[in-house]
Amino acid sequence: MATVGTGKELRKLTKSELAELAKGLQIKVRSKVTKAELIAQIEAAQRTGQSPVATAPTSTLAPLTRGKPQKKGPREEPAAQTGPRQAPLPTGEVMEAAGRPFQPIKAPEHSSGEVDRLTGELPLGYGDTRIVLQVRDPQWAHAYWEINEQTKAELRHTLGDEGYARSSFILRVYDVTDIEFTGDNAHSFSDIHVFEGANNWYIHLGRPDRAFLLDLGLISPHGQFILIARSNVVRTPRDTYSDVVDEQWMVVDEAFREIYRASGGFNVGASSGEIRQAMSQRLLHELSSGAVSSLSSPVRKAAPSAGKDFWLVVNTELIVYGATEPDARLTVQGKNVKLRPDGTFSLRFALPDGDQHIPVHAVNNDGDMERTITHVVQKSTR
Amino acid sequence: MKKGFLSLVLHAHLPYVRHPEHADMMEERWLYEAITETYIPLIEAFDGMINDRVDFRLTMSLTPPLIGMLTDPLLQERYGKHLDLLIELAEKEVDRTRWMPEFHGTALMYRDKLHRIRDIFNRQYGRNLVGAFRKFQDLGNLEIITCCATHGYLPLMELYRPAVRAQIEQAVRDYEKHLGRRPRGIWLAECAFNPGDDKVLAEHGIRFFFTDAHGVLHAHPRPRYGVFAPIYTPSGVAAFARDLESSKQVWSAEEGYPGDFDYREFYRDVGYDLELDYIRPYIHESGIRLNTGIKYYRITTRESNHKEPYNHQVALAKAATHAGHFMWCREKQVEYLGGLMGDRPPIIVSPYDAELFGHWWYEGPDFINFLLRKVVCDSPTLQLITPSEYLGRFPKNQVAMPSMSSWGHKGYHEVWLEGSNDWIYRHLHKAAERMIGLADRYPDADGLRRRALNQAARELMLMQASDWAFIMKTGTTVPYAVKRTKDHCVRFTRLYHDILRDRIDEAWLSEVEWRDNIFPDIDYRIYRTHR
Repeated sequence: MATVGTGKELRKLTKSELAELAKGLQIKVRSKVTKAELIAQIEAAQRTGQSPVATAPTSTLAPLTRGKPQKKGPREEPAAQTGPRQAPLPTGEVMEAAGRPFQPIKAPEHSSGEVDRLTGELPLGYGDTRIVLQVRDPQWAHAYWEINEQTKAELRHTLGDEGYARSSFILRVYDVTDIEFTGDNAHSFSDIHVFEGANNWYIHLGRPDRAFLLDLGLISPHGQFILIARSNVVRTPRDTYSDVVDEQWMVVDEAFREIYRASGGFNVGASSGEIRQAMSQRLLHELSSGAVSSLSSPVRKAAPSAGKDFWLVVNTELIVYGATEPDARLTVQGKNVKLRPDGTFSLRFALPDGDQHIPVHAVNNDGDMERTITHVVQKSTR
Repeated sequence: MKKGFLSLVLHAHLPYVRHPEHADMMEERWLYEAITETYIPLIEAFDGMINDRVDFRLTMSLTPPLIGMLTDPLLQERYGKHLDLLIELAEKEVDRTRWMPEFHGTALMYRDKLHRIRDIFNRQYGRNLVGAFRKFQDLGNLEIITCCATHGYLPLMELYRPAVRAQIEQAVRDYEKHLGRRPRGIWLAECAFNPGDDKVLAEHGIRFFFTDAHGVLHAHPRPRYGVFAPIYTPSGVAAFARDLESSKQVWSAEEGYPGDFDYREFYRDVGYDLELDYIRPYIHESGIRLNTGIKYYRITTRESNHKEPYNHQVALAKAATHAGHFMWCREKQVEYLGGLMGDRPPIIVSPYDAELFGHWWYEGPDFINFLLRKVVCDSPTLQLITPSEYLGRFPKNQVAMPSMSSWGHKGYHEVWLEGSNDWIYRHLHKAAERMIGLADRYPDADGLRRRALNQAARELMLMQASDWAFIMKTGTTVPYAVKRTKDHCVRFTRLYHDILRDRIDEAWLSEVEWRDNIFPDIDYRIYRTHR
């Protein structure tokens, strides 16, 4: 039973057994999930959640706990970092990780079900300690961060368990416009308290055309600031026209304001988002495997009206069908109809109110014999 | 010389939605609908003008994912079948509506149009629509520009410059492969510009790009002519800015042309309206109803659900009226600007999503057709121009650095960086960082490792498409966008670990190559830090 986590073994289980297993792996199970999806989710969870304990070769754990993530902390990929440090350079990072033999992790065996390993959930983190800052607009930025277990352990060690528990996480926002930041030469800074479980934050910078960076840190009970990670520097965009004028292309202020106005400059950002969004929704609407649509509704209403509503639509269609010699020529109401190879035909008409005379006329291949049958149909709506 | 220039720009793009693993994947219909309703009608309009010797000018971006899908044999085959089925339905509709004269004319219109589309697709262009667009470029009427390789949103990739460069470099290579020369211009995905990206464009020989109005308006130093002349960035690439007034006439939900009551109503489709047994062969194989493209009503009114039958001739006349109105407005604009700009004639740059024309606005390709013809033949004031032609004529322009901007709602990054989608960036960034690390570590891989590295580059690029964040934000088909993001990330991550451990599973790799086959000849080395 040591191989119960492979796709082959999983497929032998019933859907409810799989659901149980998934719950054990802390996978959220949707109510309408298919068996195949469940298997994929379980396999993904087992992959990303592999902890040293679960993959130890001599493991004698009960089969279904294989791959169960550690209770503590997020599921993480192998940590390759040491200690609190600044956001690392991107390339050095991989080299460092690559230089290690990945000992604790046993490569997954894919003797079966390789093809299934194409989908899955993403890890909550990558075992880094870092913070990344991105500009959103002239006023706002977004930061995301991760603090790995090792860093947390070190912080606990430095502060003591109680000191750590009583410290609070803060984002320190520095204005570093046009300076080389050394840690204490910012134009100004301000602190934002974030709760320990947070891993991202929208920050109101409030100043267009300025440069900023963030320190993620702890404020100890004694008011000491302990740096955990420092972000990259970002610069907010200008939110109006530049006050710098190029002499060669100079124009008097009044004339420029007129050009600016004609360019729509007092209306920035009032862009065409509305229709693009609507268009995209329409393009994509219902045209997705994720979409659920009614199988039975004959008419979809353009826009559901608010409040109580009820509606009924009834239409009538008429099917005229029959058969003759396969090589005969046939007309219905004077229009040629192509016969199927076996000589049958079938036509379908939307039937409006009123009388319909439907002569069906057939002539044999030699052109010397014919038949005409005329149906008269009357429809009225009351 | 005319008093001013008009540069129409159509941005044609769809995310890469090729799913060989499914026989009837709904998302592939995004492509089919766009081909039927937008790309082929535009091609038909261009050919018509060429036959009539109307010397038009138009600029179009064809994004690499779109080119990839349009030239993909599997999707060509599938589209051909899709179209055959649609024609079968259109033929039945001609019979079905025989006793309903208010619909019969429209049924005949669809049948005839679909037959023409099939003829253009199969016979005239041998199923290769990129070849059609290339023909118009070679004739000098159309300027085709490229776009970021997978429509990656560059300002949110800023930390990983080699990844930004790879988006551009792959796009340029792909363009050259399909269009036989290097691109002169680019449509940055979502019109999103980040100061410094211009340098990457310059390195790849790209001479111009576009920003939203405030990108140029807020340039540093102050741009003398506002949005009505391009500026050069310090690295020498020209930035053309979007004109908001002309955009609004088409884009605005309230005042825009597409909402006219005579135009075709999108939401009444036979896929939903007709009896299930009859329509079943033409909807999704599971029986889920969807839009077929055959619709019989006009917009009629904004206030209620009451809809009147559509009349194509009336709608076409309205499109011609709107084209005349649009041209008249540009002429007035140019005359007014002439007084402000001195000797420099203004250029009005009007960019739109190409799929607006045809898909959203059914008569849109006819509007383009009428507009281009009218300007060429009737306007004493306006001249159509492409950015390349403009720069040839006015090589001296002010140097200024455009401001960070995009054409999204509120003008910056908020659409792609907000509560619904901000979670993706830690994964996108990690993958980019890892890809760059891999390329640096294995500067000259071969065999299986090279295949795995190339596939990792494909997965990263597919993951970076701005479409996924956009869809998450707009709230429709979110599960698909989330799944695509996760799938590519999961595949990338496994490749990353397998490459480092030197344990590449060839069967699995082949499966992934088969599924995510964008850029067959990608070279992962475009991700190296030092080139």
